[in-house]
Order: sequence, then structure tokens, then C-alpha cells
Amino acid sequence: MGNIGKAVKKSRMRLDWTDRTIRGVTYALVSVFAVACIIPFWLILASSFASESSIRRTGFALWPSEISFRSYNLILQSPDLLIGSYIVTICMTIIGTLIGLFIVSMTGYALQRKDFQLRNKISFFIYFTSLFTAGLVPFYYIIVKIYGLKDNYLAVLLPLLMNPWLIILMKNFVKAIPHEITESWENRRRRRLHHFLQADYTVHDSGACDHRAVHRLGILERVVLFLIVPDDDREIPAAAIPSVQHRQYRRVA
Amino acid sequence: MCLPAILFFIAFSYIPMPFSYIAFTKFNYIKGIFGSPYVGFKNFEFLFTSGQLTLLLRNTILYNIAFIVLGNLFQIAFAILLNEVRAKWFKKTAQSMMFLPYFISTVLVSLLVYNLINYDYGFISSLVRAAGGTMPKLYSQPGAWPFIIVLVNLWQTTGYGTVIYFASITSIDESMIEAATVDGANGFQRIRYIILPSLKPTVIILLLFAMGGIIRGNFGLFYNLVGNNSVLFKTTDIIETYVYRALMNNFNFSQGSAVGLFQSVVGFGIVMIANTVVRRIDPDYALF
Repeated sequence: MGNIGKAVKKSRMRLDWTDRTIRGVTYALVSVFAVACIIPFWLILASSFASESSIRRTGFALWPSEISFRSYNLILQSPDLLIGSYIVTICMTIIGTLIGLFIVSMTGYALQRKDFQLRNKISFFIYFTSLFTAGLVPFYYIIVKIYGLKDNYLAVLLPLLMNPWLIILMKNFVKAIPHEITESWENRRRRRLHHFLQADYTVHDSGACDHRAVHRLGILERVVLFLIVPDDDREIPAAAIPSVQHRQYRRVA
Repeated sequence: MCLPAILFFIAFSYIPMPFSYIAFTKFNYIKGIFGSPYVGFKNFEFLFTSGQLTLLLRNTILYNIAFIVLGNLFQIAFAILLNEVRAKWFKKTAQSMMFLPYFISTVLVSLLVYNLINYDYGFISSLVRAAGGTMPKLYSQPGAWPFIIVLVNLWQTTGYGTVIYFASITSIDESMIEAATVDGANGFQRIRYIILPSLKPTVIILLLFAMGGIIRGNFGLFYNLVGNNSVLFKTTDIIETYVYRALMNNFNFSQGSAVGLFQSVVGFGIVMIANTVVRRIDPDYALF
């Protein structure tokens, strides 16, 4: 056994020309794309310190020719609003991710089990919602009129907990766990939920990790909901401090 | 175990569905959706008689095809490339940097694009001028925008999509790749015969998902990038932006929902057909 292991290692160490080409191309392309992703951010950062007049004269540059803090002074005039927005965004994200991830992985786990007879029916039941959506107007109507969630944080938190896409993604992540592991675990302990928490969460930590990232993004990106839910600025203080995205939108738009 | 999810989808997806009846009514806020008078397909008329529908459909569908095809190719390519990276710090840094564009809202993206390409003081404009060239006035050239919008979309979604493909690559059994190496497979062959085939299920699921949205556009992206610049509408107007402009002033709930319903029905039809085709070929890959 030891010899085979060594042989494998040796053959992996030896790079033929294909490996070298792939590696060269890889580092080049990935670096180029990564830099392309960063440069616009750098431009924004640099121009946020640049004075208005220097931008008018020479255009946006990688390094500001005249440094000015005017725009920061402007934002920080009322820091409590900004901080409030961040607190709302961060809390919503953390709470939403935790609850959502728990439900999504539970469902994904159940749906990939081959011995679960309803799995195709439930998969379709869930997937159908992504095919056929009622649209924003009926959704808004339901949230406001029937659930009475106007000016309520729950109106943002609840609908974003999960979506069919996350569940199907999770199903595929969990699928990678061999069924034998599941079975042998079950022979020892009969409680499924318990087993799900112990075995699958540890085995499939990587799946859960990627998921957390995806989930968080999903919650962060929805400006729209924040736009429709708070009714009016006057009502904001108690019930709905807008999220950072909402604020950003109003400032730019 | 599925119960919480089922309740969730009933509450937020199935209960709103009957309310799309609003599309067939002359909506009266006081009487409620089911109390409003029934008007048949009258709310759909404004879209179909506008004379714009062919153009809108063409733009929306072509943009989506470009997003789906190029997007997936880029995502797969970069997932494979990242997988070949051995230096851990490089992989982590590159991944984080590629993820960054996905975090920002399209409001900011449009600002970034403007900072880069506007004629007077855009970054690229200054570069071009410094090199002695002349910068085209892109904000008045409709021909340039399909490239710009597709590029922006790729820039924004590639890093995010890579995560999904990257996760399926890492779930490939390591011993398979080692066995192939021992058998003398070179780097290209490993990618061609092991990694690419193992991505097939993911690709198919992603494609089927994308099909449902093929006549739905990303309103945020298009509206923020183009805004009310009517010079560019020929190549950039999609269903969402047209409807938004048409209904912006006298916001009409019924007509808005009519368009949404139309998109849902068509998207649903397309996915059903695609899924049936996939199931015929290989039932394992079908979504349901």
C-alpha cells in the first residue's frame, strides 16, 4: 500500500507539458479576471477621495490628484441613520441566513433520500413556484392586506428565507453523501433529525458553507422588497429603518 | 422534515397565485381583487397592440440567451481554472475578488460603468485619449450596448456562478483523478474526460432553471444602465423597462400584473417543453 501511495505522489509531482500549460494559462487568466473585478471598485474608492473639480478636469483616475473629504463629511453628517441602516441589514442577514439555512438543508436532505416516497411530488411542488409566480402586485397585496405585514421587518425577512433554487442546490450537495453512510447511521440511531444534524452537517460542511454564502447574497441583494414595504419616510423610525441598499438607492436615484 | 418548506411555499407562493386574477379585472383598491369588475384580456392589450412587442421579445430573449450561454461557459471555465490553482492563498484571494461584483447593487454598477466609459471624464475615455485615440460617444450609440450589457452581466455573475460549479468539481472523487493520472492521462485529458462529464448534471439543472426566466429581464440592470436614454432603446429595451415606462405615470396594478402573468405562462410552457425533452433523453437529469 505504501508503495502505491508513493507512486501516485511521484506521478503527481512530475509535470508534463500539458500540466505546465494549464497552470500557466490558469494563473494568467484568473489574475486578469480578478483584477478586472477589482479595478472599478478601486476607481470608486479613489474618486470618493478626489475633489469634484479634479474629476471634471482630468476624469476619473486610479489615483486622485487632489484629495478631498467632502463626500465623506456629507455622509457622516448624520451617522446614526447610516449606522441604523447597517444594523438592520446585518441583523436581517444573520437571522435570515440561520433560519433559512436550517430549513433549506432539512428539506434538501429529505428530498434526496431515495427511500422517501413523496420526494418527486414535493420537489415538483417546490419547483413549480419558481416557474409560475404570481408577480409583485398580488404578492404585495397578500403581504400587506392578508398577513398585515406593512412596515414590519418580517415582510422582508420571511419571503427571503428560501427559494426553490437554494433547495435544489442543497439537494445536490447532500446527494454527494453516499447513501450507505446514511443507512449505517440510521441502524445505530433511529432518529432522523438527529442523524441529519450530526452526520450530514459534519460530512457536508463544504456544501453548507457555499450555501451560507449564496444565501447571504440572496438576502443582501433584494432592494426591491425594502422599496415596497416601508410606506413613507415618516413612518420609518419605529417600524422600518430602511436597509443600506434602500438608502443607497435613494441617494443615487 | 419538509413541512416548514411546504408551509413556506404555500404562504408566499401558492396563496398569491389566485390573486393574479387581478390581471383580468379593472382593479379597485376599495373593493379588493375579487370584488373588482371582470374585464377579460383588456389589460393585456396595451402590450400586444403597442407594436413594440416583437422588438421587446427579441431583445429580452437574445439578451437572456447571451447571458445563459456565455455566463455558463465563463463560469465553467473559471471553475476549472480555479480548481487547477495549487497555491492556496492565490485561490482564496482570486475567489474573493471575483465574488466582489456580485455584492453590489445595480445602482452602483451603473455608476461604475458610467465612471468607466462616459465621454467627458470616464476612466477608459481618459486612457484612450492619453493613447492618442478618439473615444466614441457610447451613450448615443445603440450598437455598442449589447456588448456593454453582456460584458457587465458577465463581470457581475461569473464569480458567483463559479462557486456552484466549483463545488461540484470538488465533490468529484479524488481517487478517480488519481487513477487517471496513474494510467497516464495528461492535464487536458483529465479535464475533458473526468471533470467536464461530471459537471453535466449541474449544467442541465442550471439551464432548465434559466429557461423559465427567458422572457423575464433583469429590470435593475437594464433600467440603471440605460435609464430613460431613448436613443438606446432599439437595442436595450426589454419587456420590463417598457412596461415600467408605460405604466410609470398612472400606475396600473392590473396591467402590471397582466404582463407578469404573460411572462409566467410563457416561461412555464418553455420549461415544461425543455424538461420533457430532457426526460426523454435521460430521466435522471430531468428536474421532475
